[in-house]
Amino acid sequence: MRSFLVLLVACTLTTLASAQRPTTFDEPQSELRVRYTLEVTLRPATRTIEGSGQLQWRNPDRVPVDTLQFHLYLNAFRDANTTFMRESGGMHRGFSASDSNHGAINITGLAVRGENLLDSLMFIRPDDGNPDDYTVAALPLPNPVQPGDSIILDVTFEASLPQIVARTGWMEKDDGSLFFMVAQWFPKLGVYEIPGQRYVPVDAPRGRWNTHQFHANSEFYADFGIYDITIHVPPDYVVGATGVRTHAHDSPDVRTLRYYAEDVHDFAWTASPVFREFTTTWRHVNLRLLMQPEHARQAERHFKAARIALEAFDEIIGPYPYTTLTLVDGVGGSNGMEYPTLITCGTLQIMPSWVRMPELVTIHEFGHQYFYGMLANNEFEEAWLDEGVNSYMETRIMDEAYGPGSVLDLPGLRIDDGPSHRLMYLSTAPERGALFTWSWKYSNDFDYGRITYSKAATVLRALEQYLGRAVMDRGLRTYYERWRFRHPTTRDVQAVMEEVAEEDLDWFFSQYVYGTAVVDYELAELNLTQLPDYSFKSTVRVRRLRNGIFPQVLRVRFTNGREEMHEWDGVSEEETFQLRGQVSEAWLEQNPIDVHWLNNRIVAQGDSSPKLALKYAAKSTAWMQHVWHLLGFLF
Amino acid sequence: MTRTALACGWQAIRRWPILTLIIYGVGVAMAFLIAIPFAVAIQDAAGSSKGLLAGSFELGLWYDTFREARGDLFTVALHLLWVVPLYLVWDAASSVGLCFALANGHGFWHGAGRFAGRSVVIGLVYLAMLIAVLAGLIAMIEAMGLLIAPGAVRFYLQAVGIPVGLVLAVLLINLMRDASRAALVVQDVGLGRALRAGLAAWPMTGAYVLWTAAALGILAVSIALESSLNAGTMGSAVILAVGLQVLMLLRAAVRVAWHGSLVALTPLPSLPAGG
Ligand SMILES: [Zn+2]
Repeated sequence: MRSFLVLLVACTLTTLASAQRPTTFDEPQSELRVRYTLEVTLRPATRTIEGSGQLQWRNPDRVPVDTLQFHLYLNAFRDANTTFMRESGGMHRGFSASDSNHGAINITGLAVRGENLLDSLMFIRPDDGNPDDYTVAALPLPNPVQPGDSIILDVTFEASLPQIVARTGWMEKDDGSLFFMVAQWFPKLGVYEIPGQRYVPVDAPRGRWNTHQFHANSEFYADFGIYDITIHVPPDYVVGATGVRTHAHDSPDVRTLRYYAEDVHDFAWTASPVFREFTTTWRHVNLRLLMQPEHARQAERHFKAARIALEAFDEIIGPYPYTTLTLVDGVGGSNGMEYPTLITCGTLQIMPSWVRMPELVTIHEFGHQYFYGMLANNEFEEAWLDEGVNSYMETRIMDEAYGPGSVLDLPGLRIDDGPSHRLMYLSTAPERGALFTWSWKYSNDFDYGRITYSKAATVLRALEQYLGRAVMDRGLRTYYERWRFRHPTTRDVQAVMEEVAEEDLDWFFSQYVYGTAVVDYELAELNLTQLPDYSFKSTVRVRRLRNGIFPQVLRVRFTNGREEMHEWDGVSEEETFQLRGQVSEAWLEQNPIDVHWLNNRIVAQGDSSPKLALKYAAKSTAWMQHVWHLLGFLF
Repeated sequence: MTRTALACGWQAIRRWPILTLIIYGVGVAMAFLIAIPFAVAIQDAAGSSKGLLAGSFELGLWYDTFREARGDLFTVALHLLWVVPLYLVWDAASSVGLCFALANGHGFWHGAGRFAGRSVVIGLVYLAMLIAVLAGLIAMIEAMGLLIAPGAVRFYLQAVGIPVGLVLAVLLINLMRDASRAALVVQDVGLGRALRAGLAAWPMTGAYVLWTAAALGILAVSIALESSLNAGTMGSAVILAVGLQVLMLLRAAVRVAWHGSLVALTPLPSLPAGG
């Protein structure tokens, strides 16, 4: 009787929201070169998944293609000798992979129209030739795929998930419950770039696969398509996934959920029996937040940040076309990651409102729905286009929505996001590392982050200052409209910005995107001379101290309070401005990309006022007196 | 008893303002040893941006200023190596000096000189005890964490229990140490007896809690004043300096008052029997 009731309830749960489209469009907007129809079962006890289904690939080239290439990312965690492990030393974002912690994906069946192709599958190492790396496989086809034709592969696979490393895997929480972030879990087709696409010459005889191994510092690259994924989990598990849920069915031993996504290039899902679920809506978007129960109090903080992000991106860049957005409060190293329509945020049990980490991460990861999700640049080769452009947007949104003190908001210590990225850029040799660099070719992990995120955000803030916000925004909007659901490159971004700005921006891109120029201008001298008629002449000398050239705006204030502005192209090593009148103060307009702000100002005859010293003498004397009294408690 | 003790504390401030001035004066003088070179280093490094920096908090300019002043600031930090130990000795000496002066109505410097050595020893003994207690407390709470199932109870035990336990331990040991120093001076006993007197400090708890609360209140007001006053102009910087120093004078008075209560609560040496 009891089980009959369960069955009855379960059947009524079936087929919900089946009418909901994954996007606001009536039909797919992308080229749909791939289609994945997979069924996957999570086995928590063994931390494994078993999958089966079909992969469909359409040949976009003008010539037949006789090989397919796949990413098998989970094999990065196979043993200590993979390229990922060698490069990372087994550590990623502070979370380690170890001998006792393996991840791997094993293709157990591969066939085309009944013909077994498993034996022809071979591993290739296009980036470094490391024979111990198994993250990229090639499949020679018995019959080439004709131009415009599609091939359907029947595939079965087993994957063992690592304890969370590099964003993916499982984690056992203190309370014994399991958390799964299942990402990069299936054989994912690489991108076949046709002539004229990205950096393949238009007149090339044929296209080429762009499939990189999994590196310590690199993210992903895949083609747009359709994902129709059915997930089986234990009945008490709560699941979040890319796309819309089209079907749900509970039986006594298994919960079955089906998700459908369109115009996306990846599919990730998460499962845990302890998730607390919160929902809300923003215009056409159903937001779903899956939180660790101990963080449930912070649900509204996450939703607020998500709404701020949705609103700002809609206004600045363009509409968010998907109808779902799932925010996951993950565990450990799974946090702070983006997948199509699903992002991981993460917080701590005690997270004071003046530390806006959850907000920053939520806004950042949401931004990736644009810069990564829809504007799907190759993250291996041009990470600055996703991490950098997105960090720039993050600084704008954070500082406008929560500033001053957007990141840290304490009385007397208010730190904003834009300035923190600038300081990160300056924290070590600013002359090291170009934005346009393949992710794994940076000198070290730290540089990858410092440059692709922080230098990029700073460089783009400087570009915004140069172009003006209106032009910058028009550029970003045009970039989005023209390139969404495609794979733009740095060259495409430059072309759009030049078109919108109606000027050649080569000086900017060559120095600060492709190059490593460093900007430092100095106000070297301010001299007053009295002329025979008793009037004054002021000489202001500006010097360029480093190789970076950036147009400068010089402002001067005269003793009578009048202000003047002079523009200078910043090209020569030195420029002298002769001004009539008595200049009391001269300064260069503060530019985020200038690495030294202290030398950007000069005051006539020096500023002898001791107010700064007095202020800090007053403060630091009291600090020391407090220290004395506190020390008295200890000794 | 606490009330009488508090009254004695209050009396101490009123009748011997010189003691408050001594405590305050030496404290501020030693603070200057660090604070003045620090402020001068900042002023020198800021160059033509002094005005901007004084006016508002600009992270990028601060970064540059600190980078510029790196060498000087390192020298300032090196001074801490001798100023801090010197202060700790002064703290031990002034404590017994206050006890002596308040018990006898005069002789701060005499008392400080006479008992300083033993006072330092008492300080070291309690410091060792503090370290041991802190280690024990952490171990105990961690052990309890192992016994208690994970979840909210364990989280709060560890996230709140440890810090609260640490603060209470610091305060308790601080009270015992002061009681020992008072016994050393007032009862004129040896080190062993003085240390044992720390164990009998519990009647002083009420006065200790009240004067400590006053001290922490002054700290809070001081932080509030500092963060609410930008002090970007000469005038407001002077107001800030004066305001903070008035508070620090009060803080010195609280220290004198606590010693007044301490002396009042320390039993006098028992007279030889059969007089
Ligand atoms: Zn990112």
